[in-house]
Amino acid sequence: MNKPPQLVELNVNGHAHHIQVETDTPLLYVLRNDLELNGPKFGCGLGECGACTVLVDGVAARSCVLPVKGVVGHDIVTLEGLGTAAAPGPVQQAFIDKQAAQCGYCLNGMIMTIQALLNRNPNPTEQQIRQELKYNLCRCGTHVEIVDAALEAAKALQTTQ
Amino acid sequence: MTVPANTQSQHNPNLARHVGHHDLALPGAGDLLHGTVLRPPDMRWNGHAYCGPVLQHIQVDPARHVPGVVDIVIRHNFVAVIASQPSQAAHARAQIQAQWRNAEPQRNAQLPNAGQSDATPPPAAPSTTLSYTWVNTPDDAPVWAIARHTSTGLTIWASTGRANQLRAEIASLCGLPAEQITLVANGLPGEGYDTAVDAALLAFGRGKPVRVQHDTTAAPTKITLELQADRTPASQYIERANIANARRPSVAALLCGVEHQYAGTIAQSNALYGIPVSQQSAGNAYSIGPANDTPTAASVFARESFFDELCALQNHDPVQARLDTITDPSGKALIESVAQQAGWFDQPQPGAGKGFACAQIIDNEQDPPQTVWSAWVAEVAVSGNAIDITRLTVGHTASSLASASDTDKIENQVRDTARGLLGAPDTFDQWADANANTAGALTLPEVSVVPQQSAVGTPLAWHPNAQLPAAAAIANAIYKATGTRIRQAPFSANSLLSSTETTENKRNKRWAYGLLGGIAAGAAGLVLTALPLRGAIAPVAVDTSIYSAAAIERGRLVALAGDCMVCHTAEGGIENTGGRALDTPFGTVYTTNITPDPKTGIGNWSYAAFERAMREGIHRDGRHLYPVFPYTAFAKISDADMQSLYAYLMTREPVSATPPKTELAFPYNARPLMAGWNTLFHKNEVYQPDPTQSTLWNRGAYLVQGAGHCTACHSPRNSMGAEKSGAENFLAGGFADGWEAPALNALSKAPIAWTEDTLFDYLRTGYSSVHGVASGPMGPVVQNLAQLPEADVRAMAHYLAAINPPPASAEPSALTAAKLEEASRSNVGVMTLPGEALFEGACAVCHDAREGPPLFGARPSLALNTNLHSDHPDNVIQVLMHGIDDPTGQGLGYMPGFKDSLNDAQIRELIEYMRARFAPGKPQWQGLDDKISSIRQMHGH
Repeated sequence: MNKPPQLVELNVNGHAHHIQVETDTPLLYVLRNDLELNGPKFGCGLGECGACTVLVDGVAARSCVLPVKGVVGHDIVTLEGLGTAAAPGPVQQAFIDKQAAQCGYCLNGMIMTIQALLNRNPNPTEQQIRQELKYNLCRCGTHVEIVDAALEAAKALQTTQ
Repeated sequence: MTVPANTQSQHNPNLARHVGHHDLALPGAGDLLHGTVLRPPDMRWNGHAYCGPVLQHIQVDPARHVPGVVDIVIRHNFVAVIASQPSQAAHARAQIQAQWRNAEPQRNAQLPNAGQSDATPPPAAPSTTLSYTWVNTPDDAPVWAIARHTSTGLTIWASTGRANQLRAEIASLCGLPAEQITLVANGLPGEGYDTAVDAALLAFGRGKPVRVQHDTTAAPTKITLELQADRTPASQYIERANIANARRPSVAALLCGVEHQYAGTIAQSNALYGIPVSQQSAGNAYSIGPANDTPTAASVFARESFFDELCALQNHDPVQARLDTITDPSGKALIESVAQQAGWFDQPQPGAGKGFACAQIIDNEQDPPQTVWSAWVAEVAVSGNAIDITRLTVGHTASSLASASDTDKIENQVRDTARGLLGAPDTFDQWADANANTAGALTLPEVSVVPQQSAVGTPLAWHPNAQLPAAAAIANAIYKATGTRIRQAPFSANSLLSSTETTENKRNKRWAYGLLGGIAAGAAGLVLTALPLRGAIAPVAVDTSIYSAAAIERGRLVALAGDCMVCHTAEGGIENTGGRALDTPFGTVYTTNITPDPKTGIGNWSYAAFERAMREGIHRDGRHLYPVFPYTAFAKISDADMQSLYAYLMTREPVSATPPKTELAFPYNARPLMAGWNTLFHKNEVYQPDPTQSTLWNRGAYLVQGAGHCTACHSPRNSMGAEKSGAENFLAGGFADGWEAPALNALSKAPIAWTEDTLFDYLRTGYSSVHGVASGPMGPVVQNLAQLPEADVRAMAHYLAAINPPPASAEPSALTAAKLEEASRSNVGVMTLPGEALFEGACAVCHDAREGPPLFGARPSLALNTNLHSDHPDNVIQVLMHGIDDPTGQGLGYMPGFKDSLNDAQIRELIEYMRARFAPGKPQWQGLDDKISSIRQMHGH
């Protein structure tokens, strides 16, 4: 069933964007296609793998199954909102330092999910990190480095405060 | 966890980025956090401090796990949740398990300045005791406040009539100097004192602004007055009230343990009655009532009505009695001049009555205290079945006045005051939306304002406290005219109807409904003559210019409640142009175009034709309509609502559109057979309120049984397609459009019993944290309910909860929910089922109670899901295949469909696993394969 497009305002990485869109469209498509934010990846399209993770009001969200109408009026942050290549955010820097990547497709989801965890709990245990990442799928096997990076990021954030 | 005293919660350091702003512009929506408070049941105070139930034990861990929750604040007995979104905060609040313990009973609640007057007593009279009630009507607009704390101070956007007290109270609660508190008016009409303090407490020490919105209505103020005439040494009045007629600190401050510290209050002078008035609490303590002036209004209404009743008992003229009693010369002069201008001592017309009331209000909050005398004479006329206020004569003297304004303005204010007392929504067919109420269409009373004595002639001015005697004056006048005493204000059509009821037909006796006057009368006549004919009703050209905006708005609400546009709009089609295919056991019925297009729609339907279709299921041309169009329910719609619905539909944009023709197979294509069906199964009766039930119950019953046509899906049908009769079948569950409509009565399979609050959440937002998400055909229903006035959805929830048996166990539902969750988590038996791996892959990230990250949006608990506990697997299959489209777009209840990624065998394995894990006591469903393959062919919702 096709509904007519509507003009909606989305607040992404601190900027308001006005987009003409059919409001059932998954947020991921708008982020990648309309706003050219390619940090979030399309993986399974069913919210199962976590590659598309963004933050909504500071909480992790699967943008491939979240319709645009559900996030109007909320603060959306993508990987691009955490830092740039020149000045990575603390979580991004920790992933670089710990070389926590092979193919890298899952990394967006890993980083965003850790960011959400640290928003809530600045000093997580390794067990809590593993719990948090349980439903972010990675096929290459960099799990150990990813957990190291998360611990490192927590430490870095603690010392900067 | 058990509560330590004075826990100031830690705020999240990541949120501190906004510190440093200090401007008065309202914070942006994306920046706001939302707070909601958890109040103790039955809050009381004793005039100085809180003395209601106190927190004994609180378990907040489940609430902390709700996604979006930022913090839970506990300070003495003040409990609040802060979350990214209001719905998340409300959801989390429902997960808090709080146990309250009643405090030690207090005696002798004493108000700060409940003085006794020293006037001389009048002659002895027999002892008399009477009770009066003041109903607190909900505010039209919700009351909200926003607070933001930065390094430079605390800014609060709120509305209040007591800015100085508010600032002082927040300063003392937060330990800030008063000059660091900035109040900015947010322009709301309601009193936002309590909301402002809640917001301030939640924003204090937090980097982000917090918004709090209140949705509760205060309980009625009940006052009992007693004249003790045989006491020695002197007679006295005793006023016992459940709500103190005194200023109180904010609810938040009381709950935080603050003691009352204001000397000033607004009160009626106790010297007005000649003998002392002793004020007491009705019980051990006062209930915590509204923060506005309602208690003073209630007190004036009670005292002035009581005095009038005493005068009637003793055959005294109430005005003469006042002139004899009152010693204050300015009050005496005012009463004399108002009585003279009103022609008080003239003989009244037959069928009319005059009532008098006065007040001397002292505002001790001002320095020096201000006194306002006011006197009202109201005149009412009883004509036929209606009571009309025909004339108001008002005078007042104030020691200090607001700026002068012209006479017209004051007269309008007087009129508005009187009409405001009449407009409370209190009948089963009255809409909670003030704009849609038509009771305001009364004849306007003539108003004379007696000029203030100190300032001869104009300019006049008006003091708001001068309006307080209005209710008593009107009640006293109604007594004079009819002999009926009304002891509850503000008045409602209902209370007047029941008080003035005689032997005449109740349905004709509609007070204050002039709304569509002539049309209503004409139409009723037409229908009566049309009834036996069953013929065509001639097409007419409809003049839509006669409908008022209020009638059209009311009709819009009726249409929303009746979901007209849900069925009469094809998928992706233009609203109300029809063409939606409704699958029935007898074939496919296509809905029709109900826009006012004369050729293809209902543009040339007279009201009589429309009403006949709605109540009897007969097309304008005389054809019988199939009962998939629920005229069996619509027949219950009241006349006023039916006329408004017609007004609404006929003023929409006409659209020319011809939907597919309905062609059922023999014998169902023989429409005249429907006449026999109607004789068997249809009762054409307007809803009749049950006088033994409350207005709220009746309102809910009317919406559920009438426009809402809930039974169309939720009641079982017989082989003829008619809803089964008998009380046990009412809302006992049915099927519609390939979905099961669960039982809403005692047969409900919900693992946690539905309550009024959970029903309200579900109907209003499409989601209840202890039941699940509205999906399938219920989705559009919730979408419409979200647009109805909140009080109407509350009424439906109240009624539906009332027809459910009370929960079998006294266990709080939050605890039952926690137990069921735990059982599903530790259900090891299911872990070897083939569905486990499928569930882990496809479902667990959002639905697993075992572990995983909290994701944005709701995380519906499957252990509490009604569909998994049902006798039928249909809804589970539907949802797995087609997913759920969030009905209200709040981002809470969206789920993808797995139709294209799981085959029939996988769906079956998944369902068997979920049934075993989440409904462990229930047998496996039979015939899953057939159902799965047939539901796969259906379109989603």
